[in-house]
Amino acid sequence: MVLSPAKGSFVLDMCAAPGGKTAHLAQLMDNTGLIIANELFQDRHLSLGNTLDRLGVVNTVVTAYQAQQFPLKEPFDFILADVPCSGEGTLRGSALKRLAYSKTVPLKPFSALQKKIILRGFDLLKKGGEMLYSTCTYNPDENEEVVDFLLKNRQAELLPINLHIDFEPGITQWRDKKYDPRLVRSARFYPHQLNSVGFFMARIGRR
Amino acid sequence: LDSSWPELAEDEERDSIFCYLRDRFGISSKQFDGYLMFKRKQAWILLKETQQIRYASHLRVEKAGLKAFRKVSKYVKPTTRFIQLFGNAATKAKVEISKKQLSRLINGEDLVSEMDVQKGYVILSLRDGNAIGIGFFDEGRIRSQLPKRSRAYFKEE
Repeated sequence: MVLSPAKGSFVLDMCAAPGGKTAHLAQLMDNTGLIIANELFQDRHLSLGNTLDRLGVVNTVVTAYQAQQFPLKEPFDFILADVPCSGEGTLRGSALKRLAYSKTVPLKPFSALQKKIILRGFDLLKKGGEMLYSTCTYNPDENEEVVDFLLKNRQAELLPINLHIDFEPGITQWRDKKYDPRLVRSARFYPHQLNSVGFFMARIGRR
Repeated sequence: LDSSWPELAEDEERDSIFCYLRDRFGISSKQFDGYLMFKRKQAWILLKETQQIRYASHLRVEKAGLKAFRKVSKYVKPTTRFIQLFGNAATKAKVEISKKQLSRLINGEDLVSEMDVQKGYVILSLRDGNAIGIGFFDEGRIRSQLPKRSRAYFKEE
């Protein structure tokens, strides 16, 4: 997996509901260490709690902070920032979602929020720690631009993504915008290659 | 710990629950070395003990660990999820059921059983040995205690 927390790690999942990824982190850690599963929205805590209980997770506590304001007191070994996004990568599976998307398309607020979350996530990371930034959307404003914003504002590094499935490198140019050339180390996953949802990932390290 | 955390269970309470698990189900208390036990209202929670809990002690917490037991009248009732995690270590008060018997239980029927145990909770396990939840044994009959929301899942199985 791209984010592979070692056993005994201190891990933050910034936007955790409904909990599938949190539970997978717990599994990778063999239920050791401690995971903070943060989810702002109380109405998603039931599904998050059910997923964690159903999958036998015993190393996790749930918090309800705004991800971009998560308290800075203690740094984490690993952070998952699977942020709120426009969800373009999931449209393939649902006509209703496509219809709702075509009526709303609220892209700008997502990008602004995502930039705040990625900065806070990086600031919460221990030196030598790793963060995975991910979305289920194709829009470069929510992907490469957000990571580019981090690279411009913090001493972050982009780590390579090694997976044995097909994916495309992140883009370094979109319309009139140019992004940091290191963004080729991020990854775009497309349904026509994987028969899956669309996804974006950037593996971020802190020296 | 921040006041939002559940309270740590008293040693006496912890010992009493682990003695119950040992005496009723034969689950050794060694299984719970390395776990913290918290209490919230009439329920007890298990969370892996780790030094990182002190790093998280300032956080306002909504939920911690796995709800493992609830007080139901005079009984301590293990939760289905607890049994699914630790029930395989049980050596007593455990009944093996077929898928057909499981189907009858989840449809609300009691199972007739000649188990030699006192009235109280028993562990239900499938013939592959996996503990799936609990039932309540009384006067030769077992009544399902599987949560309603899990019944659809077992039906699919």
